[in-house]
Amino acid sequence: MGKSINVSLIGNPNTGKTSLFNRLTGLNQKVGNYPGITVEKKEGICKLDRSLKAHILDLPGTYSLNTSSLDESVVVETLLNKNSKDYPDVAVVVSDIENLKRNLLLFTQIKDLEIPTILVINMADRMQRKAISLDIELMEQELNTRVVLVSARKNIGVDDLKRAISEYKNLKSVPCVNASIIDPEYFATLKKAYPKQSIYKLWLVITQDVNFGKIDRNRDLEDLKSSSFAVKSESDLKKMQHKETVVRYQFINGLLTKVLNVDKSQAKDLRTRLDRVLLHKVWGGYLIFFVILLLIFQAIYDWSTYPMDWIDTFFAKASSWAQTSLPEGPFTDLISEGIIPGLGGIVIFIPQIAFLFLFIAILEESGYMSRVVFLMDHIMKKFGLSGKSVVPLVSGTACAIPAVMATRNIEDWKERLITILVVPFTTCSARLPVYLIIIALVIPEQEVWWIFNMQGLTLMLLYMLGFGAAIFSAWVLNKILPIKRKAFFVMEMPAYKLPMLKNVGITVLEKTKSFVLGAGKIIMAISVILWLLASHGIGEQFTNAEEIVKEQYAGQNLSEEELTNKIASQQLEHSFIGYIGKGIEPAVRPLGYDWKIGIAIVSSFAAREVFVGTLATIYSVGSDEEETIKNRMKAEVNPILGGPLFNFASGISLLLFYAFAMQCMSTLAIVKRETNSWKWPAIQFTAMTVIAYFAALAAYQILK
Amino acid sequence: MGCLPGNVVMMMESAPFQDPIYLNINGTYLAIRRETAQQIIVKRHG
Repeated sequence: MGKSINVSLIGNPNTGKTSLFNRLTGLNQKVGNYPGITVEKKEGICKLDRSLKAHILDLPGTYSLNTSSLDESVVVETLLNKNSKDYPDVAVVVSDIENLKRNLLLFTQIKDLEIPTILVINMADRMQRKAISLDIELMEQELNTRVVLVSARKNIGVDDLKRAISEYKNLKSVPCVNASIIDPEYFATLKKAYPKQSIYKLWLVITQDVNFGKIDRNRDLEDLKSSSFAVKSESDLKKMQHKETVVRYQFINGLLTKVLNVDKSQAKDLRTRLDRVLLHKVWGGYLIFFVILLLIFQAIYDWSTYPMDWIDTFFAKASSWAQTSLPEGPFTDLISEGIIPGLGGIVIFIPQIAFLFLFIAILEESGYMSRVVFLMDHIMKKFGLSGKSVVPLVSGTACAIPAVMATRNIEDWKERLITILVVPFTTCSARLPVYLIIIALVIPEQEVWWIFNMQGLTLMLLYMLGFGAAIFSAWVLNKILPIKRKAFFVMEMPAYKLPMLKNVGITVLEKTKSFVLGAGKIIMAISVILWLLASHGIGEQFTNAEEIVKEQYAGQNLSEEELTNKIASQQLEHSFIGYIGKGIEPAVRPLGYDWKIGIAIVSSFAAREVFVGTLATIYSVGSDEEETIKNRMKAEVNPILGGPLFNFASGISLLLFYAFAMQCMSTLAIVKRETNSWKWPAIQFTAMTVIAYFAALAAYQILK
Repeated sequence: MGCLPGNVVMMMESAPFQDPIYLNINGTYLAIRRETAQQIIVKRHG
């Protein structure tokens, strides 16, 4: 077996670090979390040559080593902790040719930690177009390192980088900026006390908690904080950090005047021209954004119908195949009535989730999402949110879990908390199957204004209702939450670029996979439990169902099939699940539901998408296997009023219930993790459920 | 990321309602709210 070295990829956000990571590792990567916190950890393997492999860690994007957020602390932790298994043999700092000045700040800090460092200058393919020239040799001398020009998008220079990494033993680990000139006396005593450590590492450990200190750690220099070197006050340390930054920029400016040459005559670039249109003050900005959203939702609805129909048919066929071909018995029933319909309930999601993640990935990759944040900030601010809340609210249409995690870059705690609390109102993909099936049942399929259809518009309205509920509750929360708001906001506006197929593809694949596997386990488990509860019962009425029904209909000459159905529904009604459903029926009757829908609602408090699966399980127990779930629902009759159970009033009532209710255990768990207390998820759950119940109640009572 | 004494600040665009604003500071394109932008003291350059 060959040797393996640790490589850390480090860089500012928007430098194309992830593209480079994808180039180096391909599909050879895995995404997880850092222990105990929800920062995403991306790792991968890259084969450098026959005897050497690189274990590559893609660290979160950071602007400097003076931490101000959780993501940034992770980077500092990794670089300071020599005992960590992730501690790099080589640090690869990724920079962008057009932002060298700012990117080099981070580079000089890492270099000063005396870690072998390679500087990658990405997006080198733009140099010619932007009339930029760079003296690489001189730069390597001045920085005492290897400099590699790369274009991750065009796959240029990646092999050079691999070669540079494999020659890591030749890299010099010497500092490049002498930061100690900001207070020579202090640093001299520090050096005397810890002669074996890099002076800059000591400084980072001392100042690490000045701006942001909320992370558990276990390291060799822990005693430093309580030692006499911590005597300086926080404000003194901050002032020194500020001086340090100035010193570093002086060094960088000096370097760049020597090595970098930009012909400024080509000032009018793509950015300026596109921004003029996309950020147009009067009409352009909002209109374009609205049209893009409309097109996306319409596309998702239209395109995913076909694969979803195939999946629906496929699982109905598979279930009846299992029923007829496998030997009869309880095990076959479990497969054909529990597992296969449950599995179908998961797989049917894949088309929509994949399309949603696809569009979101394209918007993010192209740089357009930042423009939306910019356009929306002023309005969002009025509702107690930040422009950056737009990203969670839009990605909430795929899934609330990554959306809650995407709030991390919101600087202000109050704005961030409000965003977390209202995000679950947005229409996530788990609601889609419920919406789609109810819409198909109660809204006529009709063309409106030539290009839209009624069902598509209803779906659009539901999305807008979700956003509306989120925005309105944000406004209320902003008024009632007793937290002080600092209203601070900074965002980088990245350059526009064509989304890269590979990046978009990997994002879609990763997110869909983790969502389906994560939610899939819950759906699967609940499907099987439901099947067990529905096919077992106690007491006379259940065990002797056959005799009771035969006796009841003795004189009526029913056909064999009718009799079987009567027996099945007698058994279902007196199974365990029947009793549960009957128990809650009084509570859901005023909303227009029967006990079967009641069961489906109760089970979807674990996860919404379980609704369709539950109905599939309930109905397929004792019904003809050839019928698909939709036709089966259409045939349901309201036991009291007569007429179809799923009519306009009860349909709208169900849609509203699902629009507002907090029915997702995974989201509650993630909210608990992000807010660090059970208080917020508890408030969120209670408030949303109450709102849902009364909205559904009002809708049914008015419309019936 | 940030604005240090002596940096060149260029106004790029402003959002509707003149807030937030979009600047080029020291070669970096940043969007910040008006309240924050008011903390920057500028001197006109040509």
